[in-house]
Amino acid sequence: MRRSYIGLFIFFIALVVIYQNNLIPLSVTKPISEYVIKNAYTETGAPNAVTAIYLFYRYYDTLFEALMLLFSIIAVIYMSVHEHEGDRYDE
Amino acid sequence: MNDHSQLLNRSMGIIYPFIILFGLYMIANGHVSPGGGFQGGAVLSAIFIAKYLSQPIMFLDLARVQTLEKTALLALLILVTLFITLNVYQTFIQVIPYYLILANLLIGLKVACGMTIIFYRFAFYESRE
Amino acid sequence: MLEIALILIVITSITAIQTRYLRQAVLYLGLFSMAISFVYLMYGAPDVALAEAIIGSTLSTILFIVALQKYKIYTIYYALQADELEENGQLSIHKQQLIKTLEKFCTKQELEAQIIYSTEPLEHIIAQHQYALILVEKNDVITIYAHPENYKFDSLKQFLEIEAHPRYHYEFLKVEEDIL
Repeated sequence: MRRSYIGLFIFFIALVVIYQNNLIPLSVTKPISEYVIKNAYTETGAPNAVTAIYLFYRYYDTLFEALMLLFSIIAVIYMSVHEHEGDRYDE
Repeated sequence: MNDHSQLLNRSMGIIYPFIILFGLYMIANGHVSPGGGFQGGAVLSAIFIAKYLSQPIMFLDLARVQTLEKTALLALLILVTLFITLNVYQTFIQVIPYYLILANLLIGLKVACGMTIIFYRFAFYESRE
Repeated sequence: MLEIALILIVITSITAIQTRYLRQAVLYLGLFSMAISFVYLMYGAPDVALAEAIIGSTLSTILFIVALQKYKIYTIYYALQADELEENGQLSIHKQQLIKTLEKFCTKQELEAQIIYSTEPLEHIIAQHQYALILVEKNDVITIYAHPENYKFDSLKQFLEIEAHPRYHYEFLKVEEDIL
C-alpha cells in the first residue's frame, strides 16, 4: 500500500516535470556564467548570485544533493548498529 | 575525554547562543551575503558537537531527529515543486527572496539534523564495550 | 599573502602524508583546509571558502579525532614465571619470535598491539585486567586464552596455523564467562 502511494507520487512528479519542460523554453546564450552574472539580480532579486543559482536556476541539483545527504545518513545508521541495540531502525 | 572539565563547560555555556545566532544569521542572509543553508546548517550542528565535547552523554532521541530531517526534506521538495509549478514568480518577482529564505531554512534544518545524526551515531554507537 | 597560503598548502599536504602519527596527520589536514579556504577567499569565492572552513577544518577534524579515540588496542598479556625474565629484561629468541608473529597479526588486522609481560597468576589477570589474549607457556605448549568477546579469535587461529612456530605448539581456549 505504502509503495503504491510512493509510486503514484513519483508518477505525479514525472508528469509535472514533463509538463514543465514544455512551459519553459531553454533560451540561454552559450557562456552561461555571463548570463547569470548579468541577469541574476534582476531576475531573482538576490544579491548573492550563488544562492540564486542553487535555488533558482539549478534547483534540481540542490534537491538531489539533499537527497544524497539523506542516503549517506541512512548508510551511517545502517553501518553503526551494534548488537545490543533493538531493531528500531530495521525496516 | 571522560573528565568533565569545568573550564570547558563554562566556556561552552557562554558560546552556545553565539553559535546559534551565527548559524541562523548565515541561513537567513544566505541570499544577500555569503553563506546559505548548507553552511549555516553545519554551523548549527556544531552546537551538539560542542555539547558532546563538554559532556559526552547521549541525550537525543536520534529517531526523532531523523524524522525531523525527513520532514524537512519533504517540505523542501514540496516547496520547490509548488514554487516552480505555480509560476507566481513570473508575475510577482518580489516573492522570490521569501522563497529563497524559506528554502535555505529548510536546507539548514536538514543539514543540521543530518550532521548531528552522523556525529552521534559515530560517537556513541560504534563502540563495542 | 596568497603566495604564503599556497606554500602552506604544499607543506601541510606533504607533511600530512609523511608523518608517522595519525593524530598529527589529522591536525595537518585541518591546517590544510584552513589554508585552502583562505585561498578560495582570495580568489573571490567566499561561499566555497565558508563551506571548506566549516566542513573541512572543523567537522571532519573532530570526526577523525573521535575515530582515532576509538582506535582499538589489542592487549596481549604474556604470563611469565618470575625467573623467566632474564636479568636485562631480554627474552629468549623463541619468545621474541612468537611476539613478532602476534604483532604481524595485529598489523594485518589494523589493530595496535600492546604486549604486557606479567608475572601474576592467570586467574588474577582474568579477574583484574582488561585483556584480549593471555599467553601461558608450559613445556613448549603455548595456551592462548581469549576474552569471551574477542571477535578476532577465529582469524587468529587461522593465522597461527599458517605461521607455525618452530618450537612451540599452540592450544586455543576461550575463557568462559562464568569463570569471571
